[in-house]
Amino acid sequence: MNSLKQITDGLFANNPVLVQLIGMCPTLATTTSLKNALGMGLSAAAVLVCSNVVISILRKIIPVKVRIACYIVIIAGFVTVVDLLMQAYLPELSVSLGMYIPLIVVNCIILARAEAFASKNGVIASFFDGVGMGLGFTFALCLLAFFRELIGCGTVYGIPVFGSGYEPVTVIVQTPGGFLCLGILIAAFKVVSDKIKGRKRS
Amino acid sequence: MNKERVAMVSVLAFICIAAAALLGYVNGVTKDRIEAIANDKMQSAMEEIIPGAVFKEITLPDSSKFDKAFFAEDEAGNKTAFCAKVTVSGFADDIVLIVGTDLNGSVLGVKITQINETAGLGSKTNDEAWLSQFKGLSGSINLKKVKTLPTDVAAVSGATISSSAVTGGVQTALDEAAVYLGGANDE
Repeated sequence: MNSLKQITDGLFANNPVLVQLIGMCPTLATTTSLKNALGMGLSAAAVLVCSNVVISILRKIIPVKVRIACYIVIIAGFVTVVDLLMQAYLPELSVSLGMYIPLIVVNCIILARAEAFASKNGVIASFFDGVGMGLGFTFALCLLAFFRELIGCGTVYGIPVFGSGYEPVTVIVQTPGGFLCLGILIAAFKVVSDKIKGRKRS
Repeated sequence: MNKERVAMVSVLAFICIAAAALLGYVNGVTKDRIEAIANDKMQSAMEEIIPGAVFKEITLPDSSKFDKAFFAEDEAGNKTAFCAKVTVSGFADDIVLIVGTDLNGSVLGVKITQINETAGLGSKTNDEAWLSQFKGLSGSINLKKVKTLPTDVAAVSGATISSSAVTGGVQTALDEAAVYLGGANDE
């Protein structure tokens, strides 16, 4: 599998959120604004790339019976590093993401890629797998956040776009609205990707 | 079998030690910056409420509900106002408030330095317009759905918990400020 294929795989064909349906908790929680979604997506991607590389390096010496414990320590370590760096250098983002950053530890995308990919493949392949899945996660989050912020707050990346006459549909930025938007987005993504697949076949 | 056990323990221990070393290093690098950012935020919030004052920290007893408290002084060293940092629990996470009062115990201004409430709902308590409702209030503040009396504060609709958390924080500040202001508060 070449690296480009791996990246597009993570972005589209095997998008972690829209196709694999994993990492739903951070997806619903942080997509209330585009800024948060981008921050969450990129921090999770950074942790994913780092943990994939390290787990891949250590894959031959980690004993099978304690592998999950080892993965969690590695992932939690990187998450704490990202959390501290963010607090020190991106304080605003850290305020708005706050409690979700420590939750990257239990983000199933990261553990899933560690278990399903990094523990069985080489360092370079694992690196690109991390990049692809991380970007796929970020892409899905941003797409969802774009619509939720637009409808729910009338803004795009914090900038009002509809003028003062627009009454925001606040339910969209609440949890039920998150489920609604995610459902519609997954359906739309499926329709589009089926069309593309159909075209390729014929 | 024994070899396997040794490998299990030693690999896990090695990974833990390496992770701990990395974290210790990053913590050392970022600690001062994180603290400085929090202090800066508090300082600039206080300066916005009470411009041009010098802030002298007050030593608080352990039982105090304040995180920190300050007397604002003018250049001659006369006390002009009082400022307190209060942490309350909101809907999602702690909310940190800076409350400034004059020497009679009425609110000069309220600023939020840390808030993590739901975007579009609880986060609205951090709007300048909403927080300005507290200005000039003293004694006991009533949180209402609709403001009817001048001493009422209208809650953000859909965010009662966040609204009452912030109001509670301001109330705490007023109540305890009275102690430092020598009971000048007109309850």
